Amino acid sequence: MKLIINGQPATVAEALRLPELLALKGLNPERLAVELNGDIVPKSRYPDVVLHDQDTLELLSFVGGG
Amino acid sequence: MTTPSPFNGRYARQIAVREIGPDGQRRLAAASVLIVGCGALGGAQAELLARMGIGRLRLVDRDVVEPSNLPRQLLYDERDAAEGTPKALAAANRLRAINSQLVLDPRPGNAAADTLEGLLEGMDLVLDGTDNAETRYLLNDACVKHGKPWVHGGVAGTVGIVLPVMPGSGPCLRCLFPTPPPAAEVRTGATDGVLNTVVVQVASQQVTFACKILLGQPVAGSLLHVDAWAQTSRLARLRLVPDCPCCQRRDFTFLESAPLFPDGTPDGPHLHQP
Repeated sequence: MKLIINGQPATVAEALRLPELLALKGLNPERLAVELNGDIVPKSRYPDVVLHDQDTLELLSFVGGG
Repeated sequence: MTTPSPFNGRYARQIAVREIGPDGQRRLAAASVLIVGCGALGGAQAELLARMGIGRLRLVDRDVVEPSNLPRQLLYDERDAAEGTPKALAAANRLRAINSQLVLDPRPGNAAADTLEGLLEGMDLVLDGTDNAETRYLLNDACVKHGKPWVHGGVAGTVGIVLPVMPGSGPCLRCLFPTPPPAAEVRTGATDGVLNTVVVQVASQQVTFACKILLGQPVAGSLLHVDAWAQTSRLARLRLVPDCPCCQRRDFTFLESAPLFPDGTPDGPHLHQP
């Protein structure tokens, strides 16, 4: 299935779960905020989130400069 | 004969904005805003608020102006950099020339666990102009504890993020990022550089959120993230986390377990060395 991740198209396995996607990308869930179709996903819900074809994700990290 | 405007026509084009109006302009003129950090973000915020006719600005910064600040720190010039003027004072000088009606309260020095709560006194709202995670987690603790709205903003490279925090009615910084990232993992101007256009974009959105808060408009739960180079911006929804250690359990660990960060992290000379 196809996802849009940070504006870029990506092809992943069907019914991938959010923690599996983050692991595939080598990202630490503790350091990220995940926006899924416009909503920030609460960290406690990550294990329950099953991704669907055409989902749009933004993987956000803390931005420190000012 | 018409009634003279309380603002002598200076703010006519701003009062004409439907979202502001004469009542909004009066509210801005009565408001007091604390800007923590007068670098790139804080300087742009201060100039916008000064020109907008805000009543009072308290400016906190521990650094002096350096030549490497000039590409993105709009309030300062080559003379400030040559003289190494403390940023809070150089900012106040420039802002005074922009708007003589503005009440200025420059505070050269640190916003730290032992000073921040005092700096909040008398302020209606706080703007984040800091350049490190540590001060932002302190700000989040202090503002949630005292029920002060604050608007987080951060930039690095070409990207930026803006989060308005409305204590009591919406999520806080720790609902988004529960724990501060290790300093070595944070993207900052030191790691990624900073494009000056993203600074102005983020500061502008922080000030827009500040105006909406001061005018009583709903902003809680908005999270804006932008990439100036890709020319994208997205507004996401953030819900408060029911077991958030800060805004729900009211555990103000950064503020009340000081000093967790005795050395600070930003580069450059500081007025108060540890």
